[in-house]
Amino acid sequence: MISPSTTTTTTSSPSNNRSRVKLYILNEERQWDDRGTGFVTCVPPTEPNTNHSILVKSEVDGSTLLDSKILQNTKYQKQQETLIVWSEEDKYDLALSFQEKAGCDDVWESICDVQGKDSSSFLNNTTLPSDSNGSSIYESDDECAGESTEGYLSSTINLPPVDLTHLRDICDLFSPEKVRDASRRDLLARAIESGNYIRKLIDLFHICEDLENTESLHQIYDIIRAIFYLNKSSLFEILFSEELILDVIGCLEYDSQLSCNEKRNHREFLDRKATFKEVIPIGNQELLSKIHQTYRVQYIQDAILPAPSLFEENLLSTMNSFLFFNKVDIVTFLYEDAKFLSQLFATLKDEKLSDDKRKDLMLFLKEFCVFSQTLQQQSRDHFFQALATHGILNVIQVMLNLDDTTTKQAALDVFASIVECNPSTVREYMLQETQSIQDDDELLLNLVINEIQNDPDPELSGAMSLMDCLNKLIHPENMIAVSISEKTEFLLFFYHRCMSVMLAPLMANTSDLKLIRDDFHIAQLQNLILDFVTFCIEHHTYHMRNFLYKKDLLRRVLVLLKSKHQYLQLSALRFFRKIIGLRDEQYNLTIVVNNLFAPIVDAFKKNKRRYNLLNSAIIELFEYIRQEDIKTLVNYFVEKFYSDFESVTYVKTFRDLKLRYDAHRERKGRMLNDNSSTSSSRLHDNVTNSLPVHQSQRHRKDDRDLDDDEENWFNDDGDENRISSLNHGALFNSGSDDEDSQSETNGTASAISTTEPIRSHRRPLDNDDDELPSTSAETPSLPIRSQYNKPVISIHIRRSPISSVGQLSPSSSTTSMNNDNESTILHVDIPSATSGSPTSSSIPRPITPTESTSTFAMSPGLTSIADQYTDDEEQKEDDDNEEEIENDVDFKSIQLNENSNNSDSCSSTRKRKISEDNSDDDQLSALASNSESTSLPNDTNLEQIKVFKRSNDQSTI
Amino acid sequence: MGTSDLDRQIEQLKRCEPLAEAEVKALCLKAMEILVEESNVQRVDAPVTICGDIHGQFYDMKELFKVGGDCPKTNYLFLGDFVDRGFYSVETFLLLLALKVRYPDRITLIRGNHESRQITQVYGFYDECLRKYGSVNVWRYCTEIFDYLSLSALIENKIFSVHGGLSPAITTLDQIRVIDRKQEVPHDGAMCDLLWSDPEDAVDGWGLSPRGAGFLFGGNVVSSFNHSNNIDYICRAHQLVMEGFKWMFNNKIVTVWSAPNYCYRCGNVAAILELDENLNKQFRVFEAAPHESRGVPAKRPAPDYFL
Repeated sequence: MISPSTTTTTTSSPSNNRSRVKLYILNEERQWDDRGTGFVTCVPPTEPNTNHSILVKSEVDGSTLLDSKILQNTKYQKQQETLIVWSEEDKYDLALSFQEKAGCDDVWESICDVQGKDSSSFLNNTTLPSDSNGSSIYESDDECAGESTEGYLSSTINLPPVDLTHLRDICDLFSPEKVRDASRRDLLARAIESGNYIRKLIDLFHICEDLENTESLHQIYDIIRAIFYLNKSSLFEILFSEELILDVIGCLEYDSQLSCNEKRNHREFLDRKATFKEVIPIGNQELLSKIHQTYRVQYIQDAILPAPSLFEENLLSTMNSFLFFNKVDIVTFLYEDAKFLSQLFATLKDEKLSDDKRKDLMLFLKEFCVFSQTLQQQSRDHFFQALATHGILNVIQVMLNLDDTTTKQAALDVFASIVECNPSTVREYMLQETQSIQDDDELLLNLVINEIQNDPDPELSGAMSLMDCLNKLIHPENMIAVSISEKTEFLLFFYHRCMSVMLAPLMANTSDLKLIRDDFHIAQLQNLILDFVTFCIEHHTYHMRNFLYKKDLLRRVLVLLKSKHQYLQLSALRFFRKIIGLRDEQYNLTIVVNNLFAPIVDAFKKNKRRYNLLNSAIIELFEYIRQEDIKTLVNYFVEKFYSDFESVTYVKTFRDLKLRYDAHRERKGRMLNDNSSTSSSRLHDNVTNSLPVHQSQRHRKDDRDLDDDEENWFNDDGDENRISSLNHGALFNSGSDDEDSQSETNGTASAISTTEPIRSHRRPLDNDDDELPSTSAETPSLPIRSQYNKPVISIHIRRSPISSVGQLSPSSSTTSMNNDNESTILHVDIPSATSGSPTSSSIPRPITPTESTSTFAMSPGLTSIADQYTDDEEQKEDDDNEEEIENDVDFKSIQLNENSNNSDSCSSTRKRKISEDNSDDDQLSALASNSESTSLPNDTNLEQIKVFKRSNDQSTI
Repeated sequence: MGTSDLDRQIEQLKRCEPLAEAEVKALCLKAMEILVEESNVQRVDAPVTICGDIHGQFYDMKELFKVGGDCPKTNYLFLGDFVDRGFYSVETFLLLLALKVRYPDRITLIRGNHESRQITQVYGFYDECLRKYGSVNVWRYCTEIFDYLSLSALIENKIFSVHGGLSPAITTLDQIRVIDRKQEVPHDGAMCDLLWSDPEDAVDGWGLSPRGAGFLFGGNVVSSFNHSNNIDYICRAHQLVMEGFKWMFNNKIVTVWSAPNYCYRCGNVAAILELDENLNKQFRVFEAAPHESRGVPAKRPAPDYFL
């Protein structure tokens, strides 16, 4: 039978708002999933003996979103005028949300007609309380509209009198089938509330306890427990009232599941053992009783009615909220009370304070911070601001110098809470204290690092959490919120005064390039440190570069490959792999010059033919080099180590590397023959014509200046210098470490949220590629960096005095070189290939000049590397690389702009590159020119030179 | 940690009582030493019993052991997805891990797509750790271990086992060797595909997966993979099948699912695949454990409070 109203809904058209609905399905997390919007119709049976069905067609493509038979016993429920909810075969909970009330009424009537019920008699359903969040079990249960008409219409439930004879009847009130129905639960709760019923139950409880009537006590336990599970805030108000709560807890001691001797003495614990420590007097009585109440309710939740899972916890969601809002009240009241905070901090800073008192105050602060988690983000910010104003970080700093472990741990916990919520506050404090504190050991950050390194736990779990905390502190992602300079300044500070402290255990344990200790504890600690610096490699490209060279960190880390702990070997390898993943030619050359594959090859050989994680990780490293065709490393590997791997045939990696190498050689040989004279002279012309020597020199000079500053900065502890370089740093480095982390997060987010497969995280290429940078070079503002978004690898090789330019191959020394200069710079630009990215194939790729600097001596091995760039026509670059390089481009270009004399050098170089591209010249210009400035004899350089000298020796062996 | 300690912990976990945080950390470190020596394609000998997704349904896993026999009397290969969705991910995973440490050659655990930091933060394991331990340390230790889990197994050179399925980047088993598996499950690439892909009748070759990671692959892909690697069939999990197991593509690939009444509401039965020493197959089907009252260890609040 179809009612007239059904017919109207059947004629749905796209403009028919009346039948427009959203379809929801309750998912496994008990949340409503939106399954789309469409138009609903009630369809009569197409064949005899089948059912009417509810049909929803998508408004987007007309596809069927829902085709649900209206069965006689399906219990539909209408809620809030525009919602119809039902449960399908006990498997799915479905809901239709109507745009218009009229549409809802239409379909509701149709359903009632089909089921043969009177739609008007259910109208009172619409007044059902809908306090559920959709995840509570009762509310989402299939609701019976039909069978409980009586229940809905009767307004009260008559409760049995509270006495021993009726206990069973009272228990029965709460039997599962009777509390399934939400409205009945409501009525029950109302009845219990109005009849002062709980009070009466408690009176009976006292009688039973006096009589030691265990059976009745068990029944009362069941009743009180059932009242909890009604999950009504009005009842919790009564249960948790000051006069009743302990008795209620008393009732909950008599769990019938537990035998008598297992009976828990909750009241005894709360009465006698639990002590409230009022560290700072709280005058407000109301607040005091709230604190006591919260502790007791928390106790009920944790110790008396622990929920085995989130699912069951939801059954007591209202108790949860009760606790939650209590905590909000308490913490808000206290932190807004300026007098209270002043007194608290005044006491904390009192030097005559006893150790015990200090400990208690710290424990209070810790709990205070835990409670503050209930606050909204904005209030929580205010909360920590208030603490910061009173000098919380200074207090922590003082505490970390104490010996008491409890106090210290509490201080660290508070520290972690602040970092978690508001890392900027912490960074600000740390930057401020650099002005006043000379001794690095006294810096807050170094005190924390010290705690990491001295974690008493053999498995270093405390250190692990603190490392997490530091990660947040140095993550570029959360550093731009406050000010642009925050990141620059903080990172400069961190790398200047803390990073060495962080690395100290690793450095000490690998001095002389030997692994000194290899016990479990130091291995664990080094592992944590490695994770940390690996993170830095990825996120602080610029700073880490300096640091890496300064500390010769790469070689130190590779010493850890000698450890007997495979996980440590793996972490060391991962660090190295990250560096290679940067595809930074400067690093690649360092690897070659220092023969850094040697320890890896050793580790591989030592692992023999075992197919384990180390084996796979090392192969993966070489596979990556093969795939990306990193020529420097391919050549280096094959020339030096291929013989060791010839026999490794279980993977193709090494054979393929050799094939690659051979192909390169062959091509180069061919080309040398073909272009013997013409090509090189043409290249020469190109370069010299488009980039006059004097200009390139000026160009270089800038670079040296920059290096001066950086290196002086790192070597100079004077305060004046630091401040000037902080500002300096702000200019050239802001934003430079963002890009890669940005793309990382995007990828992360999409993994969960998108339904589309994530096949590639490559960005489409920037179409502004062709734009000349000359215009941007005139505007000395930050945004120009986007126009330097070009994948370019550039290498600067500064010769140490001992090396000879004569070793350079003919093709790379086409430009003039001055042998008399102490420092020579080889500048190689490599165009990106068009095959790297799908969208790039038709876009011409001009090249931007970029600079980055490193210092090392020419080794014999380098000549071949310099060589190879002459035929590097298919150098591939991926986006990662693009971004990394971009970082360099960024600060360098800004550096250029600082010096207005140079504003045109950049564009002229650029023109040169374009003309090169146009001339179909596949070859790269390998541009080596002299620098007017002589090398700076500061410590860093000496150190570097030493390092490279050493490697020089090695590679000639 | 001695054997007796371990045995005690196994007994405790079998009662569904989680270990103390420090014990978890120690157990994980022990497991790490074992797992780090395993291959990306771990060799497994017959006889062995293969199990699919468990998803924290601890009491149902106990049913599984009732049906399949206790470890170490029966050798087991678990195909991943130990955690998330069910209520006892912590106990489930720790029990399996403890068994692994105790009987490293008797039980093999490979990684499923839920053994991942990102996924567990969404689907329950993270929250469960936080609730049961009051901190995320245990979650951290466990997810650290996830990175060490092997990616696949090869039984007697004849049956390739993996959580999800194949990858267009992998045509031979050697290519799996080149994966540095110690990392969070990536969003794409071979490692991701092995853990995320699904076989699909309607697909010829490779298709986009509606899951957002991995691929759909068709019968021809499976045939040529099996042929070029000289294996009889592929055994995988990852998809709910109402009957507990399901053959596809002319017995070239089988899905095994071991979480009965998945999410406590799907109404499916579960299965495990028993292989004898001659690789003869027997599927054992089982149902969900009866709902029982489970003791929940109560937290003891600190006696002193300041707020």
